[in-house]
Amino acid sequence: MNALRLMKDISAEHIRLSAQLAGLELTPEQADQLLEGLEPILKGDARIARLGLEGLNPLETIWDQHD
Amino acid sequence: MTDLELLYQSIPQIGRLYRSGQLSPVELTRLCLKRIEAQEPALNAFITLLAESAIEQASRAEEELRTGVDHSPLSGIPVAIKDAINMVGIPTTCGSKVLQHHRPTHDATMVQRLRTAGAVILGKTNMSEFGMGAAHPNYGPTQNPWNPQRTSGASSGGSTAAVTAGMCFAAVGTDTGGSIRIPASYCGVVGLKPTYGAVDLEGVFGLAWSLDHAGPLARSCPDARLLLQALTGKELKTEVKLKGLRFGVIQRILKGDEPQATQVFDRACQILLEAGAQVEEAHIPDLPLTDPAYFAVLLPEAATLHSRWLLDQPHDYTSITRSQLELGFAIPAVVHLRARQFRRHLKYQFLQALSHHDVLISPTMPWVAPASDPVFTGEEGWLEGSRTVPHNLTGLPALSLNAGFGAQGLPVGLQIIARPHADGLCLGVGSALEALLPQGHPPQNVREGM
Repeated sequence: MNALRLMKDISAEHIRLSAQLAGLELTPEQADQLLEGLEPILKGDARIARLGLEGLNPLETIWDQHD
Repeated sequence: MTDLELLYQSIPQIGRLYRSGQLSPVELTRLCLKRIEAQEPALNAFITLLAESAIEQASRAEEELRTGVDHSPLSGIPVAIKDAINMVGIPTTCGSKVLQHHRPTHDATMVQRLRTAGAVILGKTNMSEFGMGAAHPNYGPTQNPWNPQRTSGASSGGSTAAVTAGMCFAAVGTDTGGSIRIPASYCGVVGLKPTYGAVDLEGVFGLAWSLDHAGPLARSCPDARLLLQALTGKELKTEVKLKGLRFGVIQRILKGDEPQATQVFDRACQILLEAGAQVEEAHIPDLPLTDPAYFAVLLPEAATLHSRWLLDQPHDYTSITRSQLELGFAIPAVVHLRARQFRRHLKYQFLQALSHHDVLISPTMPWVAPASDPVFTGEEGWLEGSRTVPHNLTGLPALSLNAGFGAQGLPVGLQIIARPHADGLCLGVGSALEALLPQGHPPQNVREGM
């Protein structure tokens, strides 16, 4: 996944629709403001994706006394 | 002893004065209230002061001690509670307009424990709105007792300032990304984020379920230990000798660090070597990926928590808090889950490092207290939290204590990280180390003005 290419393709409209699917209505202006905050998170995600952690269960376990 | 000297005594020292009859809990509580009255206009540490009930609690503690009923080392000790923590019938606002009228119907579990321990609760302390980093104008920010032109730090700024300024002897904060340790570093006091789950969060309004912690703020590690014991109901063994202990240094220098802060940290490492400890660099290979993973975990959780209010009363939030929460709705589910996979991966890397070292250490913050808190999700916010957020992701215990003084003579914190459930080790190492590090006297500007 190329994070830079991904970010070029993402627009405020994508963010607005994504939020709408999750139940939140944003104005185009509000969605535009979120672009800057989203970029580093998605760039970081692209790097995390390259770690190859697909098989790792994301569900947390409470620490036990043997950790 | 002057009144000011009394206000800066340790909890055990106050306990000895109580039990020898030289001081009464009511006298000390009145002194704390007088101190609060004098300092509050400048510092704004409290949202709700509970003077009347504090005097009642102090009277009860006094009577009990007089008749031989001794609940705990916290009997009669004035403490403060962050305003995210429920107290029955008392407004619990979370520093927000949304919850400005919220009055809980029962105490949080930790408040019940503090009452059982005989502590005197002076009031509910100020915090940034919902712990997100922006002060709501209804409450305003808390200023730093070392320099009121600087912030005390977010989001447990009120609890931290109250301890620093001698308004109380310990306070409870919460920490989702550094909110105990950031203000502790900025104000030169001890702040512990315990192991995830160590302090029961029932009755605490958090920010993100998988990242929230609650813990003590105090002027020394022994005092923090006493508060933590009361919060958990568990005794902690904390005796540690530095000689022979293996310290692993992580994140010594990062982008944006103030040179004086690094110098203070390096001096602390030198002191450890002189004390006979081993100090060497530790390696956590994927630590640099922590920040994006953290926000990919935090923001969807926080957005979910606030989803109803964001729909019904969005204008009751500050614009900064609101846009940070809205960002959580834009993060895809797979990105969130990948971040959760990463946090497990990071945990294993930390455990690996802790198999070679007794504890890990880092500077707590890149700089001394700034004029105002940076925007949580902005570049400066990321830099501010780079050393604190990893330990919310992993759930490892992490403690900040004062290591010295940096730019403009302001406090610089050092962070100690230990294995899960080794909160006692964190506190023990902290106790041994703080005896060797320069500690702050009451800041000049709050020494007078009782």
